[in-house]
Amino acid sequence: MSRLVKTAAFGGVGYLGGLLLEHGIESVTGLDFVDGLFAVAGSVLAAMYVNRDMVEAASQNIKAMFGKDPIYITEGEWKQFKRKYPNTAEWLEKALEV
Amino acid sequence: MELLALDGFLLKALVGLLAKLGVDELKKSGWMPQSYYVRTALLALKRDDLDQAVRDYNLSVEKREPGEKAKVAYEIITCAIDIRIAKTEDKLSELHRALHPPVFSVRFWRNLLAGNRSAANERLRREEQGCREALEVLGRLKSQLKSASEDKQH
Repeated sequence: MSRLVKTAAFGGVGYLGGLLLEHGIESVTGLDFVDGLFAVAGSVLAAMYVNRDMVEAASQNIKAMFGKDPIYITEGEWKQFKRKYPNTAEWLEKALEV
Repeated sequence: MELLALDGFLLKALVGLLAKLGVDELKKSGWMPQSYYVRTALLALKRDDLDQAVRDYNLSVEKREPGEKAKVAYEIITCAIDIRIAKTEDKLSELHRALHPPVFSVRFWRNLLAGNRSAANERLRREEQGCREALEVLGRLKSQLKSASEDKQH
């Protein structure tokens, strides 16, 4: 019986430790982690690459929409894009520091 | 001694296999971080695999509210689908014009007078049908994407 209590207590301490560590990392990096530390490595790697992939994908879309490179689009075309896809436009402005 | 070493190896292999199966299962059920799914969706988009991109985006919002990046990814995928729809519609109207030219056009009379146009028209009709089916699939993909996003936002 005492062995069972000990196991449960150590398990609880371990769980709390893991939880604290996870939330600590989450608050420091601002990354959205799921329960379980196995995901940390994948999340860090994905977050590192996701910005670049987003810029690439958004610029591909702009190119396909207006038939020219994003740097050559006019202000009117940019406003048209912004009206249709406000989050992407806002995010691009932030990411590219326009 | 050799038996023990083999046991150790088998144990490690088993643990590795179980870990892989566990992670695969978590990936499939949407428990990985949102940024992971957003990235895989964008990579699928890069490969021109809209189906997979929509599936991955839907997984990214399956267990969590869409964050800033997920919202941007949603718009990027929607934009890619819209572009594909516009291109397919252009192609469809081009095919329609070729198949049903106005009476006062040269094409109409050429179609009417030339005897061997039926094979070409048949090919155009098949192409037209293909475009209609593609539009249906794209519309379905767009509604799937929308529903996943709206479910979480409302």
